[in-house]
Amino acid sequence: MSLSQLALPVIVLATLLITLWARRQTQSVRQFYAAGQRVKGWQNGLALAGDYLSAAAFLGAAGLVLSQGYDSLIYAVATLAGWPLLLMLLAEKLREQGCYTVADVLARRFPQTSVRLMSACSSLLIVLFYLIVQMVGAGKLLELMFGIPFLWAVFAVASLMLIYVAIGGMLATTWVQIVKACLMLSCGLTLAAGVWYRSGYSLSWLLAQTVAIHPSGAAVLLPSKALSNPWEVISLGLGLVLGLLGLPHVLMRFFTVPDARAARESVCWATGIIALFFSLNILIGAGAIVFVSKNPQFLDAHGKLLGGGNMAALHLAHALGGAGLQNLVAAVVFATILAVVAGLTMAGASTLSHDLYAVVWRKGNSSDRTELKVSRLASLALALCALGLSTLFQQQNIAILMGLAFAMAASGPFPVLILTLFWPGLTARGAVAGGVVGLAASALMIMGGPAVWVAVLGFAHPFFPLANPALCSVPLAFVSAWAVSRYFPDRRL
Amino acid sequence: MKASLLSLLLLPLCTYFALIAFAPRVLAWRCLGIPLSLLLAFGLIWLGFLVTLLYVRQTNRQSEGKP
Repeated sequence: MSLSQLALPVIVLATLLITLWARRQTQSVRQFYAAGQRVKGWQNGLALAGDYLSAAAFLGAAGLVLSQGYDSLIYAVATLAGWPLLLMLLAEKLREQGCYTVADVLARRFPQTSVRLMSACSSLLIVLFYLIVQMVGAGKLLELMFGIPFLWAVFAVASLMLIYVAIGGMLATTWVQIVKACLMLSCGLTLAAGVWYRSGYSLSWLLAQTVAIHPSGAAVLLPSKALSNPWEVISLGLGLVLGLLGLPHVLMRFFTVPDARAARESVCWATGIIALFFSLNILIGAGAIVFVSKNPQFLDAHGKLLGGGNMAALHLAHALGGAGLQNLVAAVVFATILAVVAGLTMAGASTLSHDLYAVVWRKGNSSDRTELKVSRLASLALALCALGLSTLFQQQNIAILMGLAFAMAASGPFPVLILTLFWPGLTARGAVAGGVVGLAASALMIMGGPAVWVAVLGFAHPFFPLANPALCSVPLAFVSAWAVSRYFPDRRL
Repeated sequence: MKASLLSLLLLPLCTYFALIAFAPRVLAWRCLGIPLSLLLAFGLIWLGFLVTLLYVRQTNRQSEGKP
């Protein structure tokens, strides 16, 4: 076994040691759900970046540059723009008003069970869709990278994520995210520096080669034909920008810091790290086109990239630094997958144990000890659920589920949170209506859109014309919340 | 302050998406030999960070009671 092959066991061992350390610090529900609210701004910033930059952001972005060129930059611009909005609209208020989950923020104004139930269900749905995407992606990647069968690969990921969350709670999850963010950034910097060096430190040479080698030619530096419908572009941008503001695993990170100042600083750190990573991805993507896409070492008999587009970054690592660098990058990708699924499981487990068990079912009459036990059982239930669903969905197009999770986050939790925090006219019925209509509309519009209705189900014409529903579903959620608040006010308590 | 920073972020962002949606050919123009598409994307990515940094700096100063 070479030194670079040791990277994977070393990373796994390090994260398990972190979990054991975190276990000693995690005795109460406050420590389990919110790491005792003692996470520093820079630490939370790294953890936020870790939560957000999944394996898709690393491997997927390089693959997307390879296949669709400039489109990956449009995704990067839109997703990054969500962070300043998150900071200015939600971060401080979440820290000031929240406790452990997003539903706690809504419950400060609307203590009704219906509002908490709606918020908990929407969080669970989003987390579950996101988790399936990550697990299926993880299984396929590990299958490709290490030759492990799909079922064993997802079992390994589910077991490790269960250990992090059930034993170490939010503190272990946070530190696993921090380690992962540092490793991923180092990896990105190494690959980008390698591409820069191999290009003779010349951007114009790299650009000229990219245009010369890519099948689209000069069009590789322009939006692809997939974005030729103007309304599709606007809807995609809206969904990506606002989706971030409704992702439960990102929002609950603001409950782990001690005050609003730390919440602000954490967004600043996260935005800087993500902007740097997206900038590095431009070089990595161009490097993949120039040094990998025509290299026979990385192509099969039909001239296709071995393992598909998602393997482009790994092949690039091999092209730049041999098998050693490739092994290191593969280990970091594994750490990335583990960290993201742990963050998602943490968000799901908090919703199940705190919102549904402790508040809705036990009406706040459960002891810390019981709630902690239920949280750990909830993590186990989520791990089993993710394992089962990822096996079920392994042959499906998981990109649809990712789009669904983002569209639901933009159309469900986001409008309700914004109206709760900023519009005094919102009623509990309005909040429930906005959340339910937003979630249902985004799901129906995706199912009836070209991505599912035509591409998957085989019908000739979609009954909703756009693949990204945010342009219609987000306003629909706002209008429903307004109309129900205006015309069906709550009964006096 | 919040409104001006939001405008600083959202106006260029909306213009960028409007260009992609309605006038994608403009993105092929070159500036210093580099396509406008790349310059705009790179600039907007870092504009997001700049807006965040300015907001945090201003808000922290206000919370410390500095002008």
